Amino acid sequence: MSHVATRTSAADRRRAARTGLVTIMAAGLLAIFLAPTTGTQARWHAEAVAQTPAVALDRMALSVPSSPAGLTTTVTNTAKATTAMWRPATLTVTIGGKPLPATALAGTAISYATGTAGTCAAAPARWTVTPALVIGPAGGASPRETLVPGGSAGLCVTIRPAADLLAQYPGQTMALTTTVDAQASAPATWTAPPVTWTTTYQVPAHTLASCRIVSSNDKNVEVAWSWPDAQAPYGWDVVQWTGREWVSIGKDYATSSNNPGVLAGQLLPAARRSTTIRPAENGSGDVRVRRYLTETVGVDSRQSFTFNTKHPDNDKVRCGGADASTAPVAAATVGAVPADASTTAPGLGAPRTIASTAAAEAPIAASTHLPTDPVAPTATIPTAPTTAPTEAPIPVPADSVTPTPAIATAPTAEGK
Amino acid sequence: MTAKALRGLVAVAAVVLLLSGGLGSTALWSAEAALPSAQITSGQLRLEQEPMSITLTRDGASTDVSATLGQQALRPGDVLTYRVPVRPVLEGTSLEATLALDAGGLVVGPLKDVVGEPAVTVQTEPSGLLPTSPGPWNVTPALSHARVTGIVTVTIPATAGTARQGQTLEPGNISWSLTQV
Repeated sequence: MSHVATRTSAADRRRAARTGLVTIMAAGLLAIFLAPTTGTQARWHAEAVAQTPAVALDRMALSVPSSPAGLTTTVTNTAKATTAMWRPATLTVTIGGKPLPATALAGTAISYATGTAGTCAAAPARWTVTPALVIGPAGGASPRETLVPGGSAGLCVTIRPAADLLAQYPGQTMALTTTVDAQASAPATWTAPPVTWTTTYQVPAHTLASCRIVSSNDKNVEVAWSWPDAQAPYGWDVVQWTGREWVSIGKDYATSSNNPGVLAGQLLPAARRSTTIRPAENGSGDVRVRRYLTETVGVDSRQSFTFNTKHPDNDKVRCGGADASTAPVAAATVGAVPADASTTAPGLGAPRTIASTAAAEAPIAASTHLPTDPVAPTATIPTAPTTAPTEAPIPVPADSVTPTPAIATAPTAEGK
Repeated sequence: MTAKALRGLVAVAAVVLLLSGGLGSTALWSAEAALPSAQITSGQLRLEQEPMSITLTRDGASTDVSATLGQQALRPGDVLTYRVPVRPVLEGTSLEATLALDAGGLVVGPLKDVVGEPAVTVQTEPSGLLPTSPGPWNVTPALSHARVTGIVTVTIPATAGTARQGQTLEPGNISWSLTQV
């Protein structure tokens, strides 16, 4: 019996211990629940968002008018924010769609100038062009011009043709194609797509203007011509077809006089645009006006005055008009020093005589560049076959005739 | 039931009785006194946003383009500065929060790889309330209602080559956040 009582007592103690532990834990939990807290677990959150607008990078480009007038154009920087550093980068020159050889441009001065639109023609050269058509800044200037966003600048090309060009391509139209490029100012490295400016230039050529009888005996004729270029020629001569060749004839006959004021082989001064001749003295052959570019290089008019002989024995003529030349370019543009018809007229390459003090005008600058090119026709006598004229003179009864405009057709034969 | 168990129950009952205090008194004494009512106000945590301004710095000169940015054309070397001010409001006992400025949504679109990540700094009024580091910052009610301006700059680098011309910095966003900790 006492043994049973002992086991019961031990179980009771363990139960009491568990009960006490449970009681303490319950009291702790209750204290936690009922005690005040510090802080919150809510994790409040707030946001503020600013929307930013879109913005684009600039686009750099140049523009030139699609149909510029003359030798002037306008370059415009169409970028909105980028300053363009621009320049004419390349130049190609063609005639009839074919590139012009560098030899033809020997001595010819091509330059570009800038300014406000339409006002740069008289500006000093900003870039110069070599005969090989390499463009470089003039006078050590910076290679590029600055153009603000949206700004425009005038761009002009100036050509001062030298003897080679004048002699080989008189009256012909050159196409000058210039590419203009640009790059952005630092620190940007942007470039603009090159734009192309094409313009044309007509190589100066003199044209025959009028022919009229000025003497009562119908022997003396005044011929007149025009010369559009500002460059003064070296001098003028009048040549006539003899049936074999073109020869210099006497000029400046006084009314009804038989003696010329300027002998054959002598030149008229640069300022002259007319003279009187006696065409019947050489069989009333066709007459051309020859412009001397230098002392030894001359260019014949692309037209010829024709004459009708009134009577084979009395030297009376009537003007027949001016026809387009049928001579090939080489023969027409390279004037041989005329056959010596005067004791004062030297041969080819020798000094020539200008027949008037009015010849004090300076020779064209281009003459100083000759003859640098062995191909240039500076001292070449045309090897023209001495064929007879192929076109019959036009019988025009009037004593005063205005020539018809020259028709630029390709000649078919050398000589006359 | 043993005596020990009984003592345990008595102890629990005593604790409950002491902590609850809800049993009242049997004496039925009564007294009254008028006390002013206590006002309890909950805390606040919010951001008051102010208008953003944008300036364009080019060749050393700055221009306000807040209203005209879309009409601008950017070029290499340009710097856009976005100023995004807010006023954090933190009210509450022991309230703490993290203030953060996220400019990761500003430069999006094809220019992202060339423009790169914008630079971020911060300015306060009164000054010096926060370090100028890009954050985030741990803030307390001491900062409440002060103007905090996030300054985000985007530079169009010179390495943005010709092929980048005409590309667009697309619409984006700059966001402030305030999160309780």
